[in-house]
Amino acid sequence: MTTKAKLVKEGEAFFKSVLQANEDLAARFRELSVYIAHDRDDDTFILTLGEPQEALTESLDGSRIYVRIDPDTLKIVGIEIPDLTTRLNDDPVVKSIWAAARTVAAPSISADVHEPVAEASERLAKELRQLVEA
Amino acid sequence: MFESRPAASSAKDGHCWSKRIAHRHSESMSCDFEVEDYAGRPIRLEHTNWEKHQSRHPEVGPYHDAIPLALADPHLVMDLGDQRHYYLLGIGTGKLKNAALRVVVGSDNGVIRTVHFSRRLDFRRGVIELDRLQQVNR
Repeated sequence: MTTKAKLVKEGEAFFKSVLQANEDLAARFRELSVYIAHDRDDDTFILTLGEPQEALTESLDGSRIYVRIDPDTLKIVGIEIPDLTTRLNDDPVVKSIWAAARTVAAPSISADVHEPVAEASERLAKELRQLVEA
Repeated sequence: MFESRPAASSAKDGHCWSKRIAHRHSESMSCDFEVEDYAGRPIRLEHTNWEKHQSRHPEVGPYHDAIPLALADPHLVMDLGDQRHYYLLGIGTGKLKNAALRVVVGSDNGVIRTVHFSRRLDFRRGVIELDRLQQVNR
């Protein structure tokens, strides 16, 4: 087996492990602090789940989304979307993730605030897990 | 998993210190540099961009001096059209031991856009511009 083939195989195994480690992702979006930011200098959207920490940064196939992954626990601890403005115009997945992330991080002031956050957390976790699985 | 490359040095506490690639401006140290990649193309790291990425990706701080090496002697380069991804394996230590250093460079201006560590080499986007993975000691 070539080195490239070994690395591809290891990468696939790694992402399977990441999927398994993130079955609780929606719950973590609901329970942990979520920080979002948009860096206007390089048009990058950043979401941090929990406290900022050292992490791996993995690109997700078919999109221009990066997920930050704790190298020990393999938990997803963040999202980065470069070129956000362009992506919002041409990538419906990015748009969906961005919208859900905003709701999770900053719920609106309304009587049913818990439900939208819960739904957005589920949707965000589902979208990310699908991208990791792709 | 990857054999460490002794050529890689690291910056203490994430601050630039190498006189080879860093420049002093007044009392502060700047981390900007310009180097040629393996194909002779000029690549530039801007100080403000590095400072930004240190806060976004604190794990790359100690690897500032490995960035020129990743550009000049990468194991893999993927061309994604508007950007190129340079991968250098065997440079990470500790939690990052099995990860590759990935430097993302804008194709239009040669400016480094981001630097991070990744476990998966992403072959499914773009085309392989350079493949030296056989040189990786595993």
